[in-house]
Amino acid sequence: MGRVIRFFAKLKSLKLGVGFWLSVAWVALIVLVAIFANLLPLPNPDSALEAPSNLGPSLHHLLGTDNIGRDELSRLIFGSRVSLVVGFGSILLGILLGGLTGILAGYYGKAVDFSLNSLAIIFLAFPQMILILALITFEGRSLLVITVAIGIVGSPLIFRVVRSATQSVASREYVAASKALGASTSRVLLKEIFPNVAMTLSAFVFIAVGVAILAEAGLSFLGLSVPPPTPTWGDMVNVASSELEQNSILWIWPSLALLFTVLSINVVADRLRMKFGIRESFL
Amino acid sequence: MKRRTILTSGVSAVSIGALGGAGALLAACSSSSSSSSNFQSTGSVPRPGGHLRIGTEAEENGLSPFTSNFDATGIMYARAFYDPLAATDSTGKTHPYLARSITPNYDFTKWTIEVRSNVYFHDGSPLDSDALVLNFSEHLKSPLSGPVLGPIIKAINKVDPLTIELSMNSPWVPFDVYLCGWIGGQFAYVSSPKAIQAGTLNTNPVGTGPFVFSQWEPNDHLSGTKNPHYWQTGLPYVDSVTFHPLPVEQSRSDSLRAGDVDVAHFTDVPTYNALKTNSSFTHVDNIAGEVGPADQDFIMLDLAKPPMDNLNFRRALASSLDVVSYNKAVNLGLTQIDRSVFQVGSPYHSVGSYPNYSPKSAREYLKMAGLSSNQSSFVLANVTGPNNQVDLELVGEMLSRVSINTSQQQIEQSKYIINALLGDFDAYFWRQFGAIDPDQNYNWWSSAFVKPVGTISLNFARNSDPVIDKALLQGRENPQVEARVEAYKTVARQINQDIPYLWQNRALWAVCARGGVHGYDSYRLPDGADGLGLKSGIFPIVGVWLS
Amino acid sequence: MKRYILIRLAAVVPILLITSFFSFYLLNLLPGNPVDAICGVGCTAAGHVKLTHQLGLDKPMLTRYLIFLKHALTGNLGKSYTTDQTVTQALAQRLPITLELMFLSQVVALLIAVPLAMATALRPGSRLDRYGSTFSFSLLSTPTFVIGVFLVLAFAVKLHIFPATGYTNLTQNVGENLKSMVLPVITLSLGSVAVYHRVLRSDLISTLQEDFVTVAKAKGLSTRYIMLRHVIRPSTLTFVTLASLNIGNLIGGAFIIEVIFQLPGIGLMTISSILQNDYLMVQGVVLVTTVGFVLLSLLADILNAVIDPRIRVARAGL
Repeated sequence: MGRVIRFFAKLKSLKLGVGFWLSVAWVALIVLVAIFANLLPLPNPDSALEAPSNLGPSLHHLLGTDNIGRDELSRLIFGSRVSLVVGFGSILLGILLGGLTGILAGYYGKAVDFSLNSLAIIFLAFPQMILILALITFEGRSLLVITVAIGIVGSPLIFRVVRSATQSVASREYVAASKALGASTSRVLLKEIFPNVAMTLSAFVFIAVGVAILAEAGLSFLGLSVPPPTPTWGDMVNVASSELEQNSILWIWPSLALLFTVLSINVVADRLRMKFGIRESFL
Repeated sequence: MKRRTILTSGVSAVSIGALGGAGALLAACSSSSSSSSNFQSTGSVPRPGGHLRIGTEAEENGLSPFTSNFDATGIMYARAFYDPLAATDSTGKTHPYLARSITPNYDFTKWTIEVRSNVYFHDGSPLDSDALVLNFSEHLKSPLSGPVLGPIIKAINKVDPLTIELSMNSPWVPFDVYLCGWIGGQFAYVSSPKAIQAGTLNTNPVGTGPFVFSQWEPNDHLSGTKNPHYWQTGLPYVDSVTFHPLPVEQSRSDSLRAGDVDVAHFTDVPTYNALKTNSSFTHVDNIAGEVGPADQDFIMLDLAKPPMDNLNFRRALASSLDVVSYNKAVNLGLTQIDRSVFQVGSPYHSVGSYPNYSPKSAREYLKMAGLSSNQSSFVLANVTGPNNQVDLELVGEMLSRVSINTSQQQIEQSKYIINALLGDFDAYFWRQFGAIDPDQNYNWWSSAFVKPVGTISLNFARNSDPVIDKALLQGRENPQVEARVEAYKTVARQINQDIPYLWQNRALWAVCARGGVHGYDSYRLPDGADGLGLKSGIFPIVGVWLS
Repeated sequence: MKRYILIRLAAVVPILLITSFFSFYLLNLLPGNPVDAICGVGCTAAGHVKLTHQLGLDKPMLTRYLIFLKHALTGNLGKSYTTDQTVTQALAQRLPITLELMFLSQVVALLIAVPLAMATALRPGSRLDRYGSTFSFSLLSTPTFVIGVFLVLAFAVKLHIFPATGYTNLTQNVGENLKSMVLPVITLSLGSVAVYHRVLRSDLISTLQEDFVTVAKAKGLSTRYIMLRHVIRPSTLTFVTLASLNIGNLIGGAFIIEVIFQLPGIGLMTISSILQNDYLMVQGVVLVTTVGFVLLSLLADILNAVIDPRIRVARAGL
């Protein structure tokens, strides 16, 4: 018991603020329910017409039912899976693709930098929508394709961030000192460059996850994301928007879910960044 | 956007050209006329002037009746700038419109068309038999109407300066219904010979119609101004008209409510219902019934590909659809369920052996079909759009309850239509078959229009049935009322035997207008008869006036 | 400096070539065939072949690309397969709308973000700052389509102030044009407001801590003078770079806006062109957006160099 108290006291002393902890709690909650969705006592999100349509919140259906009688809460929870997988998965891919190349470009400079940077600019110049659409049309719409598509589209930006962060770190004295002491390239990269870049990147990454989640929601809204009957938040907003008059509550739940999730991620990122004093302008 | 009637914009040159038409005697297929409206359209004096803004559900590829396939919106456009040779009255009978008379010979193998005198196109050229000959010849040559008109029309002869005669290879009893210019009969609209020769009709329509073309920005607006020399003196009442294509039902509804448009048609029940119950708007819809076969909402199957080539499997599918619950959920229970291509109340209505909803029977049929679970899974698809997605999920759910697995897809509008034409689909949500006379649906049902998968085929479902073919020919060539009723009842029965279509409900078509818009629900024909109002999303604008 | 600009300008050409080739290649990989749509019902096998030949679609991809390039150099971008317009016509008609949307939304975003950033940077940690932060975070976290749908419901449908859909051309009526753009522009700008506010604010804060500001204050200069004359300048550096990077997001965002508000811009056109295999139309869009992006980022870099002499000096060697 004492240990728990000391733990919370330590958290409080970090002075990250109530907003921070609320946000962390929300994200943790979403992640947990997404993972354990199948174990929760929820009605099947696909079961249409099991209940009357357009019910308001009730004991059996905490958030009501949609217009074909599916449980709204259940759809919301299963929908979180898509948002989270795409959000985190795509950025992870982006970091692997863009981050690694960014460090290489920033560290080695010259020809390596020039070629990688040009590639990134070309990717950035290419209309993102076309790339995503082409991938989807070609490979079909699935969770994997959407995640990869958004990841690929986001990687040039991550590349740019990592590259400029690497450049500024690489020019510091302690790196030169390390080299002068005869440290191998990989050692320099691992011990000096990587940790510093990672700190800069971490704040940016959270924001990127938020953007990726919204991007998937946008694709859903346009009918281009994961195909039905898989529920996704963007898709739920889309359907509800077209029937706003009949049942506005159905529109509110997924919109709030998106808002709170992305907001929480952004707040966490912001507080961490403030705490570790990372500048926001690392472009 | 809701599911759309076939061959809408996006597919430039695909023909509908359904042939045939009822003899003038049998046009009325339904007892009740166009239904629930909530206002008096007579008794007030029309006031000229004003600008009419119309919200439509689609945009067209072009404005030429020769090259652009017209859906409901296209026909509305056509009626603004062109005139059809004939027009349908409120009982379904054909009356001459731009023509002074349209007469068949004794066995319907020759049709004589005489146009009115002293009528001019917007560019000043006269409407005469030379113009008619040119129009029909061009239609025969066009990729749209040609392949369908070609086999039947033998010759076009000029009789006198205002009259032509069309000779047919075989009797075509309902030909004059086509000349009313409904969907599939766009060769009824007469274009200026000068414009035809200039080849500019697609972006600059020139006809005899109530409005003169002024501007077109595709996907934004199409405008016309009042024709000062219109042959129906006094018409049109309004000074100008602008069409605004708004494919998303909710947007169209928002536009009407925000006052961006004055009148618009709708096909989505919940959207329309919200407007219907709003007393600041007047409305007209087809819920209570309509003249002629009604548009049906159904799921179309491709019988040329497994597993849809298996009759027992199709029976299983039909048995697993709880259309009543579907109708309640998706259409608020407001639309009618016909379970036949011809609606309840039509003399041709026949359900035959179409399976009732019964999950037990569905499972039995499935067993009889003898397909493995892999073989019995297929792709169920609908057009992109939020309303359509829910329909898709609901049906997918119903099928999964009897262990039929589907993967669901939403496909963009124009690709959807191409796929249907090429037979590149398993099961598609579809809407079709609205007509004045059943013969207008000939091409969709005749095996003459079945082509292998990969080639364009108008008989989308690719159902070849000699019984249907024989009955269709009888309906087309035999003028006797009893014979035609018998023929089309056979068609309905046989279709329900073959099950190329899984019936859902009669499609909704409705028009809503802000207060102060009059005359969109009916109009007066030149000979004094009442013109047919709303039909398959098309509503009259020539007699609209604003107060 | 001049050399720097020339080099960057020269880079436009290879970038254009690569993106146009890449998109051409991608599009040709997609399943589907525009010939079916055009050929029509009367399409015989022979007719199909003839039409394919007429459209030049029977040639190998590389040849087709080179032909496209040759024509493009003379300004002929080809004709759309699905409508009767030439690609240039369609672009000329639709591009200005998307551009107007993007431009106005950035202007609005600035008008909100800059004063907000200035005010909150001067008083970090204050209530204004915290509320401002929460506000911009919330904006950042709300999907555009949620904001858009809400705005339409409130201001168009319920209050009848602005139109729900539709667009009046600038040349026809400026007043109507602006009215029809208000809701879409606001929706699109809100996301950018958040980003600009956050970045500008932190930049301003760090600049305010610099020595020269303390000196200026000691000299007795007013806060407002210091802000406008000395502090804003170095901060615009990152902001300009940020704006140029934002373009990509903006195009995607503009597309959703165009769908919600039914604006006839290039967004809507692009999607349907891709799905209908209208290769030439998509090529046209790719060309335009690539050129636009490259030129804009060049502009950003030039502005950067102009604003911050340190970069000019450092880059002089390039």
